[in-house]
Amino acid sequence: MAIRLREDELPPDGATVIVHLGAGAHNNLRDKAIRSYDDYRDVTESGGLFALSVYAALKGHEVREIVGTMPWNQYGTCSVGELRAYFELLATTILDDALQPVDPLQEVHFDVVLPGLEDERLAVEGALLDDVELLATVETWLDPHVDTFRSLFEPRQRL
Amino acid sequence: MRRLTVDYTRYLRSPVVEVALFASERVGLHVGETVLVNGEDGIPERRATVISIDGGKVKLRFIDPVRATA
Repeated sequence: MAIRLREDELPPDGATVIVHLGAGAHNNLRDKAIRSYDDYRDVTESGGLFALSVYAALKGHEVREIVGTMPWNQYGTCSVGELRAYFELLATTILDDALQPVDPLQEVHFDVVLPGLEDERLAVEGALLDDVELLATVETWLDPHVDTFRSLFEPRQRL
Repeated sequence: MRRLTVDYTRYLRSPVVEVALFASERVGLHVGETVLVNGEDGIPERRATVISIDGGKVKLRFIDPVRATA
């Protein structure tokens, strides 16, 4: 699996962004940002990224269609403008044969980038998965940012 | 049965998913093993088979279908 940066124009501030949002979302979101950190080493000059996948209701893809492709019908929405007031948004495509069945939505896949942490241990690929002390440091760093992210998408909705 | 977490927002309803595992989660894991996948709290777990292990990453193929609604 690899990440490709698309050269799309970023969506307008009024566009709706959708995220899968189950119960207990805080820890799940933080965990996702940590597990995917190394996936972004090839697309940034600053090492990995703490990123969270979202989809934008653009290019003919409606909220209902996007939520319908998720394995569970709980989700949250916010506007691009609200999101960009706090976080960077990258247009990204996940390159993975496993995603072929849901490929059409890749054109509206974006990553929300949580603020990075300056820690020299993160320079080593895989360290975040293997170093328990580093993991604890990163979790503490990400907690307030994940709270902000989650609050932007609340209240949780069901289709 | 071992429990693993995947990012359903990234993989949606894909039948195969890839996930990076923490060191503690990788201990003893092997290709062919059946695991329980927990994507989000409150979402029914689904069984999956480990189809490859590459460094810290594993690929899983779901055995159980998605149950669509809460």
